[in-house]
Amino acid sequence: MDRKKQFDMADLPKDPGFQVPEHYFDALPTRIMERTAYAQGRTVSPASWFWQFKTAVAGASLGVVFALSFLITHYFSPDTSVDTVMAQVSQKEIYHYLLNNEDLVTADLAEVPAVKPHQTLEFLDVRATDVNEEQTKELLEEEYEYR
Amino acid sequence: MEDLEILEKFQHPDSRNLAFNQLVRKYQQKVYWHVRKMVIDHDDADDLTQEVFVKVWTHLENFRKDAQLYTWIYRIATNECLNFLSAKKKRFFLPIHDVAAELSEKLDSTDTLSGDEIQLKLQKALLRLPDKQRLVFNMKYFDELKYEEISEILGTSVGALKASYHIAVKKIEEYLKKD
Repeated sequence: MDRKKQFDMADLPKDPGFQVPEHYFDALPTRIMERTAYAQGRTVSPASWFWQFKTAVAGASLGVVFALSFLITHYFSPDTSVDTVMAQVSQKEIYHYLLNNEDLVTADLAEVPAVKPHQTLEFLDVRATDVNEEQTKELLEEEYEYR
Repeated sequence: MEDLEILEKFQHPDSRNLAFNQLVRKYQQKVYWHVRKMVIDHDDADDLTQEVFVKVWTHLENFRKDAQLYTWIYRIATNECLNFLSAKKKRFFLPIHDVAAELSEKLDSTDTLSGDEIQLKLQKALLRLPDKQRLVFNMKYFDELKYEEISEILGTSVGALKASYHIAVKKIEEYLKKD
């Protein structure tokens, strides 16, 4: 038995039958225009690229200059801070300087490290009884807080 | 808008975008379907259709007016398809039959074809043809172009095209009878 069918081109469909997403052809022109005609307005000219490059180079150079100046001042310049200079002055010199300064009162000198502890009251010009009274008050307040 | 009018408007910067928009609207479906029949997959056809129009935009200024605009666009689309299929074969080191098998699998996916069995069979039969023979069949059978027009697009003689189409029909007939 011949299983071959009679073939006729007229039986074949003229429509290939492919499907496309809905509204595909409505949106396609816009997508194409965005890649062609509309894209032209957004393209950056070579001159503009040159200016952008120049600005970037200038910015980078400025940054390098700042970094170098910071490194130089931070690591290579002599240390001239107030603490360093003051450390080089002896306590004796400071004491004599302060003692001869007319604007100071003796109480100010009580904080100078060169002043010995037993001399502090002398500089502060307070009586020993006042100090004792103040210390007793402090002790009573502490006792009350911890109760 | 007629092709000549589109071309004239395209030469003027003020009306260039409008002219190109008209051109896209006029030819988008022809280009898309021509490409789709060759590459089968919608996403590939979408990419290639856009590429075709990008090339049209780039070269339209140098288009010779003695040629027909639609045959020129068809030629660009045809070259894009052939290059795409050729690159696909090279990229995966696949022989022609395997690319055809891959495209045939895409035909079976539910969202490719509308579901008509004879349409599916015909497309599967077409995938067994060499790319250029498939092109000739598509342009003659589906797009109903004249041999002279196909000749202008493909740069092949009318006689060779007639022979190619005849062989394609015989192969399809053979395939469909066997199935």
